[in-house]
Amino acid sequence: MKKLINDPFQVVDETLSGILKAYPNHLRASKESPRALVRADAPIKGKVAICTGGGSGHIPVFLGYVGPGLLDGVSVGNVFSSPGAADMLAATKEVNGGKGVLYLFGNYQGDTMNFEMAAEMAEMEKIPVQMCIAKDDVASAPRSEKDKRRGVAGIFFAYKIAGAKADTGASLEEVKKTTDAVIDNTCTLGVALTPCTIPAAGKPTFTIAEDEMEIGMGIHGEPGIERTKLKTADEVATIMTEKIVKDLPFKANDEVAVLVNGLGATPPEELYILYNKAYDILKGYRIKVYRAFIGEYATSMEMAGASITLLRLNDEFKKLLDAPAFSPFLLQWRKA
Amino acid sequence: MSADTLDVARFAAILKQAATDFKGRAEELRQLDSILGDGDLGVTIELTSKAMLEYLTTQQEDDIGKLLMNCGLNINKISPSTFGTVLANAFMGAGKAAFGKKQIEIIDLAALGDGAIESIKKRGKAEVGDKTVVDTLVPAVEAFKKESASGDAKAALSATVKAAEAGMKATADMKAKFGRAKWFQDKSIGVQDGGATAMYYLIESFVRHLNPPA
Repeated sequence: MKKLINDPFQVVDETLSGILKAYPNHLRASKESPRALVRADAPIKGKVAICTGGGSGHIPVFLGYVGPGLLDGVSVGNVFSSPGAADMLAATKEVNGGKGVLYLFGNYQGDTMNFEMAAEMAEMEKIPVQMCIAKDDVASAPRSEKDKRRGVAGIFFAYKIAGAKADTGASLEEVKKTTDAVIDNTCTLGVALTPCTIPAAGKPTFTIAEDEMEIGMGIHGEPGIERTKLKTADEVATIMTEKIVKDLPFKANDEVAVLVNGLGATPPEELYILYNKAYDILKGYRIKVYRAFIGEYATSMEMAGASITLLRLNDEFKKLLDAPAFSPFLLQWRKA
Repeated sequence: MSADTLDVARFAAILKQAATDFKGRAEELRQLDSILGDGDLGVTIELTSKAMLEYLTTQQEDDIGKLLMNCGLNINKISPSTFGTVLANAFMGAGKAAFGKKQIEIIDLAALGDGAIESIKKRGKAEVGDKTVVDTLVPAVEAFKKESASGDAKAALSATVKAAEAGMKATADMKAKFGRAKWFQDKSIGVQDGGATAMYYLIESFVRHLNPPA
């Protein structure tokens, strides 16, 4: 393990401490838990609040999506491990602006169990809660069992649009409805080239040969759909884009937003090489790219690899995607 | 107080002993989990044990329901991994079933077991046969209920441990449907489930301290 850390068991708390020192006007820790962070100006009165949360090791997922036009609170677990329900409740209580709280998180068992517990506790505190669970990873289950799919980088689109929807003054039910519609129209497929190491475990989460890659591998090293010899960027972009297009399926004249996401150790140059090919394939299908986002939106520490996400747009999604938003972790917001 | 009665102090003392025993199983469970899981069950066991001891040492409850509920909440706070959360829910479900009770008879533990099972099934959505803690807990509680019908607490407790052990061992032949082990599907057959094993150790240890050999 070659990492710039101190104590492997202090990685999460020292990361949070550094982030709070870096962005004191943007984020603060909640009163009840140092593992629950909220917008510095929370609660926002009269707006549905949105909370997310999950294991550490995926920055900017999850805490990087807290900010104006985005989310209100986040609970932070250990590396690749859910936060506890009490941390989620701490964030919930502090962000509630009187219109209820939406929980928006990825489809993993530990997170789901804890968010369900937190929702029950919030009910006892008379805070209405609704849940939206992102499940965009097409490799993790067939479309016929889509509720079993894992949540990966595509949650970015759900975050952005949910945040903008909440800013319109919409009700909790309306924000949930729009967010669920985004989730239903989002598909992601990833490829991993190298593993990552959980600091407290000290060894890589899986092994893969120097000349191999795995299509569809999950962001925690979950087995994918195919392990093969390393292919060229064009070949990888083709496999990924074709599978995604056929999954939803996306059709001619659809308008889409595209996300090409780096997993942590893959440089931006390679992401643009992937996008270069993905764009041409979409054009071949007469699928129109409305906006493209290229960069690190959901990482897996030092894992090398990338994912491609497509979101099928409608007029409402386009408007909400273009709405202003800010987080120091994210730069590609406003329409160019 | 008869030998078959549990008040808050005795319940807490037994749980404390069980938590201490549990910590001693951390390395064994870490190794078992590293075959199918990601090897973090050892850390989870240590954190769970720590959460239980920390709470049980300082608690001043006057009600068994609250004792179990708050013990569960502290486990979830310190050890919110998947197994930790399932265990926390078992405690909270048992606590709900004992709410308001200052003391209970050993034969009344069946209701607590049912509460724990209901809570785990609701939260984790696992059923018997899915290769999880449910496969240890359900037969254990069923055996306890069957044997305790005659009113013999000692016989019921020993049947509980036997059934828990059989349930745990049966997970070796099952295909995983939950947790990281499910990614291995057929490859998971032949390996005993770590969570089911941890649950067996807890039950065995709880019964041993509840029912010391004469």
